[in-house]
Amino acid sequence: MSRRSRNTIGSRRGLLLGCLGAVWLLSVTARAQVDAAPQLQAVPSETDIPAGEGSEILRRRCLGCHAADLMRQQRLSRSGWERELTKMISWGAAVEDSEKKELVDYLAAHFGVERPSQQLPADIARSASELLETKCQSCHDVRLIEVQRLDVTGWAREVDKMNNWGARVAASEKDGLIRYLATRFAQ
Amino acid sequence: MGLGSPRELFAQGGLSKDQLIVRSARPQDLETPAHLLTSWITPNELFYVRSHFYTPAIREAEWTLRVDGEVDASLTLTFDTVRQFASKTIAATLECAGNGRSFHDPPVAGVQWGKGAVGTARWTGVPLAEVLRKAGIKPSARYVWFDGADVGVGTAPDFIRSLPIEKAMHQDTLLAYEMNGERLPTPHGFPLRAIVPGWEGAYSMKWLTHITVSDRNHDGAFVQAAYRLPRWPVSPGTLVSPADTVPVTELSVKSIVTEPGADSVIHAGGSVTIAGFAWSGEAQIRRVDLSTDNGRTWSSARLGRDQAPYAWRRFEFVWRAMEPGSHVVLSRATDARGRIQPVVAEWNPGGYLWNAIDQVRVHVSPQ
Repeated sequence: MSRRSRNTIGSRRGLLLGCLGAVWLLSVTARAQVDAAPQLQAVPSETDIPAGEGSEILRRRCLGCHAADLMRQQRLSRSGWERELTKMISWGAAVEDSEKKELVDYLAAHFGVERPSQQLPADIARSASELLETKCQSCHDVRLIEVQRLDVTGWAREVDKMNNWGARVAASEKDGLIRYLATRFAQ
Repeated sequence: MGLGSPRELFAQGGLSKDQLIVRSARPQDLETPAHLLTSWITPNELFYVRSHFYTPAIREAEWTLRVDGEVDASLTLTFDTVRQFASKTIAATLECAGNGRSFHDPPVAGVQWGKGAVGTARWTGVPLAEVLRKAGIKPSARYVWFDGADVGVGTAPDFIRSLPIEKAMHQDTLLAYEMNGERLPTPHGFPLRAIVPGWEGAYSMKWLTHITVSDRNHDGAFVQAAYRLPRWPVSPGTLVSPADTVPVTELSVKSIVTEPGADSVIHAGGSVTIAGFAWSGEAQIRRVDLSTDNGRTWSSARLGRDQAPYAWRRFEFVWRAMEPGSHVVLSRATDARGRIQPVVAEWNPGGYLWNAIDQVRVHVSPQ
């Protein structure tokens, strides 16, 4: 419970700060229009979805009926998304058979149980994943890494500690590895 | 019946989009932030909204309620004829069955509600039993089906719910046209909604247009597939066949801490009021216990004066925070039947009825 509620609170706080920022800017630049129409919140729009293979299918086949915020808040495994898609198709969603795999891949990658590594640039994610295998898994079982829930600061501390204990993560590799770990094995 | 734009709907219903958490913009699902639940009666503009499909725009003059099925004489009632029945007002807490779904682990599909898909209002309307008596219930009647003016998106099934006849005939089950003394706001079901007090919120059908009295349960997806729990506890993540499930009916015993807010900072040596609400379906709350030391020790909270058979009870506890550091405040409700809020909520595939002991972390700073 605590992990998920922290996430919610963290992201809400981010939104709140965004809103306050927007309101402040408006109050500075448009002071004359005090009675203007209520400002819209600076939240992700109804149609905001992460870019990537499959995003266009989601846009075309799902966002006609649903706002994207409903998808963004789900955390489902691949089979969980398959079940949802099957239900939606039975309720009239016009998803072609040829589109299903790509759509489920996209949903599970971006709105999955794990944080999406796809949010990192592909080259960083790829080289970090190689580093994980060569520099970490030579000593650790990957399952130990997978159960961690650390943010960037937490992972930076762990990587520094491991380097002190003899791991050989080069200074140039550190940032990418830490971002990758903090994205995949996050709070 | 067209769709109202969200902005129009907010204007009609007086909802404050700035204050509610938008869980889904369309269909409209809005959650009340727990720290705004401060009064025994929740103001209409802060009341959570759960909609399965798009909000229908209904003109009072064109609206009718049809009552048919296992009755002696079918009825078609206009809004004026509904208001001619003797009215009744009850204060009742409504809670979405999925309130707290986001806390289930592993995660469950659906709107990811936190704590705030719950609120209490005074509902004014006509007892459903009076309308059913006017139509004349046949002895074969076993269920009452509710249908509203909202329609399924695409070929999604219509949102229809089915209520056992005993609960339908209960004197406190209402067809409500007023919420806290105001015309029922559009997002809350204008012009008429069912109020099934003590039962999970989806029974309280909004935008009600059709009541069918039947000798059998409804066979639609929202009766046979959704709003159901496994017959017995299952391990988290288990898939459960519908045949092994039973309908969600009464709400569970539950309490939430609404103040101080999560991650509040207070000064050591100062007094801080810990407050919140406790409710338990059709039962009264007997006590609420609070812990300010991660659950090591518990003290009884003072219960608020306002109470009604199906309404939540406010609780308060004055904590003199002496020990600096980060502490978890917990609340645990017990109802008059002896049901106690559990340490661990029962995981289920729909993510319903989350009711684990509530917890809020607060930070006590040294003087």
